[in-house]
Amino acid sequence: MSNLTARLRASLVAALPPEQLLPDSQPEYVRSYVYVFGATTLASFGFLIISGIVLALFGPGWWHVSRIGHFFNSIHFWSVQAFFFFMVLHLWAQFFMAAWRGGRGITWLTGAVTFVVSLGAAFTGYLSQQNFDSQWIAVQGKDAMNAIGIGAYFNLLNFGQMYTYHVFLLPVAVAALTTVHLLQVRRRGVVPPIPPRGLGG
Amino acid sequence: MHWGIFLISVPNLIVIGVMVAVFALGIALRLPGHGGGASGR
Amino acid sequence: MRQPDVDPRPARAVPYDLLREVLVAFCVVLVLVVTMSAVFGSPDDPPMTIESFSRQSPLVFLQTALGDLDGSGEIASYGPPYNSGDGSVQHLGPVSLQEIPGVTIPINTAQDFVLSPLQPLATVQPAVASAVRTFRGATAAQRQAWEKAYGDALDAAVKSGASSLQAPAAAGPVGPMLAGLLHEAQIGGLDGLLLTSSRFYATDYTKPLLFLQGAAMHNRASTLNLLGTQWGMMNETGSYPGQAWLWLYTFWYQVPAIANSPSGDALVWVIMAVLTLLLVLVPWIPGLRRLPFKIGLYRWIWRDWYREHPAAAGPPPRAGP
Repeated sequence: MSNLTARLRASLVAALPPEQLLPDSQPEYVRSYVYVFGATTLASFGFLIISGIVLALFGPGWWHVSRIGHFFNSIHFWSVQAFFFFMVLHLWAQFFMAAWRGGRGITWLTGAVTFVVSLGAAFTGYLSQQNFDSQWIAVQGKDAMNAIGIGAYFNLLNFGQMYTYHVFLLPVAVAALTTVHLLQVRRRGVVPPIPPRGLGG
Repeated sequence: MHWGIFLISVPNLIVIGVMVAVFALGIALRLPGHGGGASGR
Repeated sequence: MRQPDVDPRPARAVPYDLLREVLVAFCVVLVLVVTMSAVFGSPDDPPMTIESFSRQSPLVFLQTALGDLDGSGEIASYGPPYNSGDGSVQHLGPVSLQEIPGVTIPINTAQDFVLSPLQPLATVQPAVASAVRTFRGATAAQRQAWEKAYGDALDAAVKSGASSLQAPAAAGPVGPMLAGLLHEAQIGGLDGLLLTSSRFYATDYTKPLLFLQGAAMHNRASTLNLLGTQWGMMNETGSYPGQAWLWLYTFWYQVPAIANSPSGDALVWVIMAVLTLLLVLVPWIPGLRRLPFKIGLYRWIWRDWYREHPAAAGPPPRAGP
């Protein structure tokens, strides 16, 4: 019987050697600013988590009655805007580069799923604001949820349920998916250019 | 803002406009630190 | 001959500081969100309460309560997951996904929104107590007659622009009952009564929100451009950017065939589910996966590479880098 720990370590190191996980060079074709939209998306997510932790520390009602609380809510609000702003730019860039080529399909898939789960994270956030916007989104959204049977289990009008989805379940899912996505990117490396016409031997 | 069935608030229009502009800039601008490239920036 | 998928020619490795890129990105985004927060803040339109609604629009409140009592209200006949009605049940062809889970959040609007909340008031107002007793003891036909008489008087009052209603004698106990409910709402009692659970702690706002979801909220939402027909899903209260990333989802609600369909929500779900699957599975969908080749924006992104490595320079060297 071989040593399971040693085998796990060997396969992890083989899949992602340290110099590939944290490379200090990139291929020469990485020369455009469209490559940084992933990093700015990650940074926006970081500020979402930080401002979210501050808001969570004081509870969901705090920001309505505290100037400091409202400021951190504003940080959270603009971080959401920045997050989707950069995530969509990142998606555009990867699409136009056809970044799924060369065995990078799973990288694209995890990114696209992260986008979809992020929609849910943002949606439950809008429902957790405790203001008219939340009330309106809840009563409007319920018909869509009920129309396909989801509303029977995922009740937009249940603040407690939406709040726990927003502050725990969905952020954890986004963070986990992002981690897998980043490891996939590091494992496969950035996608090489599309070959120019006339090259295909 | 209203054209046919398209109705969009000014803030949303600004955001989408800035997105397109930033994307165009992202393509147009070159990353720093590529000294020695044959492109001779 | 089929074009290969990736450029096989070896690329030079150029020093690149990934960590620096991420740190700079953090600094840029930090400046961005702090500046926007300091300059613009964030929206916080106060929530609507049943108290504020019943004070501002007492007759609309009475219309809502009457609809809950006589079963003509939207929620009274909604269907799953609230009750066994069929007023808001959506279908996809012969199938209704909405009906499969059944009634998981039972709501009986007459009982939950009118009769039960009147109980505390009935203990201190004998007139309300006897009205509720009379109403409960009456036949369905008798109740309908009272409700109709009340509804006619209410419609007339709304048309005449009155601000209050003198219930006719023909409305029987419905008059004192709804007057009592309005009084309870205006002193803030109904907000609490719809929320209270036997378990003391409350985190579930299903009942008060379902009470307010009709005319009460629509009137306020339309002034804020939040209606579905106003692409409202993308919009935010005040002059703030909203959820612009939902543009495609809300777009479908502008298509008349979908907006006017009783199963519009279910249809939009199907369309978006298919489109989402297409997005997620682009790498494996023939045609779609080659679309960026045809669009050609990549020639701009990698313009230096193509200039420095012209295709005419010869076939790719077989040796690795």
